[in-house]
Amino acid sequence: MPLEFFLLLAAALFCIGIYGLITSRNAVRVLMSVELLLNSVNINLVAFSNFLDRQNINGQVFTVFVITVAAAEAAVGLAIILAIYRNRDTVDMEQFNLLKW
Amino acid sequence: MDLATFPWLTTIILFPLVAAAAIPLIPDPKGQGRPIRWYSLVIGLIDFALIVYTFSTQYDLSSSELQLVEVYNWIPQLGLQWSLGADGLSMPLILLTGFVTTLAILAAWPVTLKPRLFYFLVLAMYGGQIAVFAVQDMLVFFLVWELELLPVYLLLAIWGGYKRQYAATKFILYTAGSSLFILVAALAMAFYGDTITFDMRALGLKEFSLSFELLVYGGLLIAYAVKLPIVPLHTWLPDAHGEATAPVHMLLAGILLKMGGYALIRMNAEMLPQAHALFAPALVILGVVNIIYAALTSFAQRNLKRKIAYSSISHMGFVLIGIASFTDLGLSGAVLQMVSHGLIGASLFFLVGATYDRTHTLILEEMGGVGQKMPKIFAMFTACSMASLALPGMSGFVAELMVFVGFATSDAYSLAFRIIVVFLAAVGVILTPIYLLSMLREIFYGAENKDLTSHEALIDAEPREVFIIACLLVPIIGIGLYPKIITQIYDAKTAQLTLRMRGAVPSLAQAPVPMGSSPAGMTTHFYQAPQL
Amino acid sequence: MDVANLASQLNAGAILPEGAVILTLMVVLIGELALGRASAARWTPYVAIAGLLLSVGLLCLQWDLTPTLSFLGSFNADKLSIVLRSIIALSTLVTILMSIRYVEQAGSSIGEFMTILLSATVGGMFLCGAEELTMIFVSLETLSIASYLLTGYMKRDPRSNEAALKYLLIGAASSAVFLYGLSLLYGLSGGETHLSAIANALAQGTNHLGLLIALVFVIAGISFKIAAVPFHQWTPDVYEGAPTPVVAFLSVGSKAAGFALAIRLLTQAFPAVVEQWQFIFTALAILSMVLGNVVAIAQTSMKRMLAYSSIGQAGFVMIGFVIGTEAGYASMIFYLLIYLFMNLGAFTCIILFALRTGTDQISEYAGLYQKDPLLTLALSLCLLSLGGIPPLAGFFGKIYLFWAGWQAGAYGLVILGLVTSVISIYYYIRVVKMMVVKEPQEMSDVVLNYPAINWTPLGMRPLQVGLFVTLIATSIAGILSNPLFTLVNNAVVEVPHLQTANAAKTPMAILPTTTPELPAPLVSNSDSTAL
Repeated sequence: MPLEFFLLLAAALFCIGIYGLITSRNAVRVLMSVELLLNSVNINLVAFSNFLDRQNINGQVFTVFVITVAAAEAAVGLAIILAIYRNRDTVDMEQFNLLKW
Repeated sequence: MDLATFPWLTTIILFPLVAAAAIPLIPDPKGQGRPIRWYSLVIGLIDFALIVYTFSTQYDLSSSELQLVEVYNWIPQLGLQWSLGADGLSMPLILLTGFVTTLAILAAWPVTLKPRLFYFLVLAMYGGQIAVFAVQDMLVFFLVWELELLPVYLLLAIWGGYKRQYAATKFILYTAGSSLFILVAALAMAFYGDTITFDMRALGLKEFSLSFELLVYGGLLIAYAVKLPIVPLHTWLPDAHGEATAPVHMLLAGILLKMGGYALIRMNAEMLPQAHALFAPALVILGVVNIIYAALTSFAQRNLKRKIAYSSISHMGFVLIGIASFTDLGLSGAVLQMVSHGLIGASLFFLVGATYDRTHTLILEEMGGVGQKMPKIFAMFTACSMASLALPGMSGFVAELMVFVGFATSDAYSLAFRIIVVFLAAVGVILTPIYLLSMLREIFYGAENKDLTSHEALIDAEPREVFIIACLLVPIIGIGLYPKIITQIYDAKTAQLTLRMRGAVPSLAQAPVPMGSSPAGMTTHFYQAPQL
Repeated sequence: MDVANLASQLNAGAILPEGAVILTLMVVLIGELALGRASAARWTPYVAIAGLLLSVGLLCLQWDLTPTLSFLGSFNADKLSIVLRSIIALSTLVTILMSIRYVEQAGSSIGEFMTILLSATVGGMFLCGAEELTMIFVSLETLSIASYLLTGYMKRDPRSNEAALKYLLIGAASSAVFLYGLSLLYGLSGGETHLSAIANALAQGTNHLGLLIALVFVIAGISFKIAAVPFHQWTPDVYEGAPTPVVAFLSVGSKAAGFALAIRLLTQAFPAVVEQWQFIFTALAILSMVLGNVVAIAQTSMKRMLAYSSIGQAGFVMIGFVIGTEAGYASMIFYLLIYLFMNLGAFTCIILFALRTGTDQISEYAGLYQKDPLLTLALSLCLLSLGGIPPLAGFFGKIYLFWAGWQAGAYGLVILGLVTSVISIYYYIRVVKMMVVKEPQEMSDVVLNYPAINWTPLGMRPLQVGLFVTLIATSIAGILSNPLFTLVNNAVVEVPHLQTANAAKTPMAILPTTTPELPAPLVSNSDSTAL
């Protein structure tokens, strides 16, 4: 399979992630979209690593780091969402309007 | 201590600034600011004494060169130097600054609102203004020019009249906006050519292309036109002067406006002679517009402070004509007019303040007939108005006459142009006595306003006020009778400067300076003054 | 390869300053767990301060060492990184000074706050020296995640929650975009992750389109961190909702880290498209200066005003970045250094005011001069310095930026910078006017009921120290800025990729000290050695 296929898959996943980011009203769904973005990056990295960098596999190492950091980010994100749910009883993005843009 | 190499100018500039920083530490048990007042006055006197001492012992009258030069590297990475010096252009204005500021501190005796802040700002301005006249580095010049911004803003905004905040904001926006041009011009000139330098003399030696000079000249003209002020950009001044309190007024009229005139000569005329040659007719026309427009507007003002403010603008027109005359005499007159107006403006504004303290109104209609109750103020007001309307024997007359004669004998303009300009400026000169005298009539003679004249606050001048006016009138009359006391300071400089300016005009480059137009010749001719 | 050999190859000494911060972090964390919150509140901040001072001291010691790549080329401890790391450590230091009382009064645990703040610092400091993609990503995320937590630290305050959520979602999205750019860079360079290796690999390639796409993604991520318009949307909200000390850290420390990242990544990995990224950053600088300074005029809340003002300030800093000359980078770092003191000084003042009165509305400052002259003086000086009024430090910072900009021929940018800084004077002076000019009868209610000035409660002394340190630095760092200029110039001169970025633009010579006897010798362009 050529490299382009993987890149296209990653790009598609990235676009879906962006779409979800923009349209979701639920904060948890926004968080999931961010995870989607990170996973598209992971596909990219692994694909590049496999095709271009078989010696050092830097990309795959990078992916491990990305997964770890994504987990941390998700944990913090969920914690914040939990805190806001306790205070406001909602996770709807439209309701968060105490601070005006 | 070696007197010749002692950093006199740095000391003179930094002394009030350092002294100002100590003001918060002065004990003031009663909260009326009495110790602070005395402290500031003493500082002002010491600094003025330093200036006079430096002038009389370290300054060579016959030289046209920069003296008392001090150069220290400040930030070598930027080419920024703390470089000071005084020549014929700076020295009279430095003396004026020391004199007027010290008197302004004395004039501020009744100020009891936030005295610490007030005297802090006045002393900060003291040092800053002297620095403007002494600094020889473009970037540092911009720095000290901007340094004035905040003290003046606060002095206007806190101690001013009813609309003071509007006036102060207008002042700061005009000045800050216009000073951008100074920085841009400084950067443009510094980076022109192969070398980077902000030193004014080195910049004067750079060979700029004509179009570049014109651009820079235009930018600087806008910056200084706001300060001087020149007519379309003058609108901050009546507001600021209309709202300021008397001592601040003295500083504004006495010194601040002179910064514009000084910088116009120092930079536009001296460093950009080619552009000056082309811009000079425009300066003359602007000067005439200044004189006539401001005089006519002054007529219509019913507010005493605004009336005098417009008369200030009118007088500044002569400075412009003098700068553009291309004669020794005209330029000399311009500098003299700045010094003279510094004294006259300060005295008039002080008297306006003194009158306001008693009548609590500035509207002419509400005054009238107060002359009987306040004969001393009346007398002093009359004397200062006479000086302002250029009565012979007073400094204003000499200065304006020098500008007139200098311009009329100038060989740079066609005869018709000269006649028209002199005629129009003369109309302005005739308007001045009319509005000033009618102002005096409305305040002091006329139908008595019973409410006002019966008021017990309407007392005559106290000794302090008489003393201040006496201090100001002595040099005014002194210069009027014997102008050489001032002109000798800068004769050498203006002569050299005129030659440089003429050198840039092709038709004048080879021609001799018109005969009979040197200030020395004229003063002896008109006054038969005894030689010292 | 034995362990000792490996250790010597790693050059682990280069990260001693970070090590000091990490050690402090552990001590604070474990100490609080072991001894309990109540006792920890009394000593953890001071331990953190001591640790940061130690870290700054170690950075100073490293100044004269020859810069070496450590950790197999992942971390570069050159002078540039030392200056930037010091800026971040100092900003944390001042932030801690101002936060002790704030956190105490809010009733939260100070030990945890210190721990998270120190983690953010570690992330920022590593980011300044990171030369490898994984390293960049991990340190950036350390900084970011800690910042999200700090923003939401007041967990019972819905505004703080909301700010944290917005910051987290936008931040996570932008770092994902940034990461996507990095992954493309990794692919385009044929599997390299070290910045210099990437630059070498890209120099041979001709795939400009791919590189440009990567560039756009990377710039989007960086712009988010430095809050450049149009990636600034989060700034006002986060600044308003987050605890004020955190805002102070975000506006200085986090921003400095963002600029550090920009300098390293863009100049080192993208020399092939230098014109493009300079063009994009020019646009960002223009937008930031204009929008930041214009919108700030309309703000009524002090924190929001400072948020927009910091956007504008970032625009000024970007002038130094886009012109790409040595003086440009030096002026940019110089400005960051000055900005550290003046901005943190301003934040210290508004924290102090908020602690005493509980508000941050600009109109509530009316007449403060009568009640608290010291606070008025400090806030006025810091704001005026931000506005660039001489002789305060900010004036010199701006002059240097504009000087460098003019030298590089960026006339339009410089003039726009000047115009917008005049606009900024207007809104800064509005606050000064509010405090100083208002008459006693125009005083706001909170100022009328202003409490007696009392420096004794827990945490007030450090706040006072922070106030004085920033105040003194803001007042005199400009006039006595010569050593600072030397410092930043040295920091930039020895970084090779900052020179190669713009080899074409040769600087002109500065005329040496003119002697009283003119004409001074004009130094010609050819034998230029200055700068």
